[in-house]
Amino acid sequence: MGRAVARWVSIVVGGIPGRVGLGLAVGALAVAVVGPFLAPYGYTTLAGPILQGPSPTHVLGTDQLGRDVLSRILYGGRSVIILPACAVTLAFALGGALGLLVGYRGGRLDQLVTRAADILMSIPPLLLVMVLVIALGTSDVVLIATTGIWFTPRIVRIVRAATASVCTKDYVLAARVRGESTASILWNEVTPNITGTLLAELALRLNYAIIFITTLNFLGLGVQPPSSDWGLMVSEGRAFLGHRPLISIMPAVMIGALAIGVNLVSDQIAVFLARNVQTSSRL
Amino acid sequence: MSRPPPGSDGPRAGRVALGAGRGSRGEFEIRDLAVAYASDSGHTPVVGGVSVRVRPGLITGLAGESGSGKTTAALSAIAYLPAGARRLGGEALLDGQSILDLDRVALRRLWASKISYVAQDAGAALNPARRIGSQLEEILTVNRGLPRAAARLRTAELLEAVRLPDAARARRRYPHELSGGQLQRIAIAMALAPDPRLIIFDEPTTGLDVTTAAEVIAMLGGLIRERGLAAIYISHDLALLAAISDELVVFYAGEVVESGPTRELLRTPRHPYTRALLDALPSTRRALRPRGIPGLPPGRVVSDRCGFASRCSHADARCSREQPALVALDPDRRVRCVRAGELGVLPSEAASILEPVRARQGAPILEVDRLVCEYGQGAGRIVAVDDVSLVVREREVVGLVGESGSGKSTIGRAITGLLIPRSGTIRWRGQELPARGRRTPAQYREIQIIFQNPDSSLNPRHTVGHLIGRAVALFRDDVSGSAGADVIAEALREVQLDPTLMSRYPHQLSGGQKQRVAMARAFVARPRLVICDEIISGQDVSVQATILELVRTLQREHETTLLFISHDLAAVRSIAQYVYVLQGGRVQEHAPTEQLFEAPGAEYTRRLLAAVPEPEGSA
Repeated sequence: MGRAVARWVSIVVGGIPGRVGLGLAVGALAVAVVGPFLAPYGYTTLAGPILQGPSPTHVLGTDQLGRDVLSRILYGGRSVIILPACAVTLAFALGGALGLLVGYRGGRLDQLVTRAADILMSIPPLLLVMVLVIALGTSDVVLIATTGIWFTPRIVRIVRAATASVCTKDYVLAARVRGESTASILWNEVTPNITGTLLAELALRLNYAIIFITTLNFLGLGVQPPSSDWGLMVSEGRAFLGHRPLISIMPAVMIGALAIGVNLVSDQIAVFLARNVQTSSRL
Repeated sequence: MSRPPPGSDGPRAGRVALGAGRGSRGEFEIRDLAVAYASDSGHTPVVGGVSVRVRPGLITGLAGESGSGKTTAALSAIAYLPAGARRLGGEALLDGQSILDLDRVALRRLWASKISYVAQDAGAALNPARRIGSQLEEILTVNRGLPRAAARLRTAELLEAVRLPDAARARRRYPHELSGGQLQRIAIAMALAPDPRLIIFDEPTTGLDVTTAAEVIAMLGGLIRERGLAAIYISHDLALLAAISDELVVFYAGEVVESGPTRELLRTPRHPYTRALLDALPSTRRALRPRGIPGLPPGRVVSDRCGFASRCSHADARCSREQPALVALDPDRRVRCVRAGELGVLPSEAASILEPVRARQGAPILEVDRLVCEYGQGAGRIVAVDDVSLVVREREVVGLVGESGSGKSTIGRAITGLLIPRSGTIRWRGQELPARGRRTPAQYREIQIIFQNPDSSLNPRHTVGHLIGRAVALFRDDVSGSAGADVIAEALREVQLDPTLMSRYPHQLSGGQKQRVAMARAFVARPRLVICDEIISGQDVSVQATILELVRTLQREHETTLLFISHDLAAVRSIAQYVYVLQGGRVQEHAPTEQLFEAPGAEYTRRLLAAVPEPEGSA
């Protein structure tokens, strides 16, 4: 598995969009991870006069409560990255396992799961979140769970289709004739052959999750003040857009960098897969 | 389809060419053609100095293993160069007109009106979304500018000419509603439609059943002679070329190594490669052990020595020093071998099977009783195996032959447990195998299967070592962890592969090597029964012989029982001691091999045997 990932990294780095994308995504990720240690002030610290422009002490100025905008950006990446990452991981764990199983087994179980996925997919995601947030209140767990549930049926379908096509191959039959267990067949025979599809899908879903969760935060359904979060910051700063645009624009730029970066990476993988429809088995 | 014909280029091109004809009319001649692929390190020559004369009304066969350059040569000769290929020299003349220096437009006109190509997979050449009739008519309305009514009349004639049964109804069908044999006939009708001067057939009967292929070939021969077309027939199967071609050109390493009239050439082969190709052929008429050709063709033109020397049983010091020239033995025969003079006509080196036919003496190990297998449900239900009973005895090689749809592979799948039979029992060493649910570990180990296509049966993401190692880990309790690598190496050596291949991935191996890995994986389990499901089809004739030889050796050394499933009667004759003939899911006949081939009892067996092409007097 480790070698497979290393190979895919080299594929992503193999094209200019992939290289730019990986740079943007890793840059945004670095800000989120290392940022809090570099921040000159705490994210709730009232560090100076309100709504100041950029100055040597406050490089990006201060917000409506006098908090340092740069510090809040350096702190605000965690939720933007961690929440979507958790949501996507949850969706892949659930949807991947289910998709592999029904793609391999087929039959009644397959029909049942596919229909259930169709029903879930027909519910508008924002409606789902609003209902859950109103019923359960908002918290990180609710955000992760709703986003995860929204994605799961889509991942089930993709993994199921990829699995079913791999399962027509004789090496899967050969494994069955050897008496291998279902788990072993799925892990040893099927998974290595759908890694490419999974990676492209992972990057794409991560992107959707970032945008979705920042949207929720912007709408006030997600992370609550005084937490610092890029989505929330865009929302809070929009009242002062004319006077102090940096309060909104800088976190928006960060979200953009992250989303575009992840998107470019996913594109690079998709382009590679499309170009190697026949020969992708060589990887 | 009311598509306006874009101009009337076709007929005009025809008129121009007619005026240019000076040599014998309708002749196609390739002169000194040389082709190379451009690569990072200069270029790789793949066709070198090829001269072939294709006379009208005759079929010229191009023979050779894959990688011998025969297809590249034929396609380059009609200026249809594969991507990355470049013509280094030579010319090709059709009706006396040089065609290789024509510009794109003239070339397209020429292709449309005077040259046709029939590929191996006819289904792929047809548009799946349109009816057969309209596709055929389009060629005539677009290429020849015929009005639609005339086109319809002409297509009816063409379908008649290729002897398509129920032609009127077939016109209204879509490609997927027709069988492979019917599609191939339609592809041939399509090729004939523009009334070409030259047709190139590229293994057009490879995917067809023996009896269907025999019919298509008989029909083709008649058509070519009747219409006086120049025809090139490309195939790796000398038996087939013996049956269909009038002239034969044997290719090796991108060069012509021997050519001449087919019957004479096959009766008195002068080049060791032609001999080796003949010796690799199994026979339905005689009890023969085919001989494989060791090694692989170089895949390029070799210029400083004889390209075949390393695989040749007659090679001496001169062969690795100088490149032999193509020498004319008489006006019709040419051969490229420095030793041709001293060697003379080469005798067969294939061994006769001398062992007497043993009575079936072993204890029954596998008993299939009244097996019925079905696919699908309800009205779409297909009975693939219909009340089949068979017995396989210990250490015996049992052949299961039949055409596609005979149910032979389905029986193999039912025995391995991949398919749940509708009814009937399968007894393994006296015990009934569970129809569904898991078998015992011993049963999994004892029954192994080798599939037809190693590209599909070997997981592309695992190394050879991992693929075989998995079977070792599962089935070899006697092997402790650290000894695993030695066992894998030994298994590879047994199938004549170098143990260093262990770290390779399947795509880094040749087709024959891949199938050997699959064989090693089956035999490393120490099985008692190995089911060989069409393991030689899809391979070159030379590789087929090597695989047959190997599986026989493994069977003898491991004292294994083999169930050899194949559509290839000759191969079955060369390996099996007892044969079951299947048709439409039923056993038509079963008998000891000698008896079945020498005195077939069932009408169907006789028909099958009659359909197999065979070079006469090649001993």
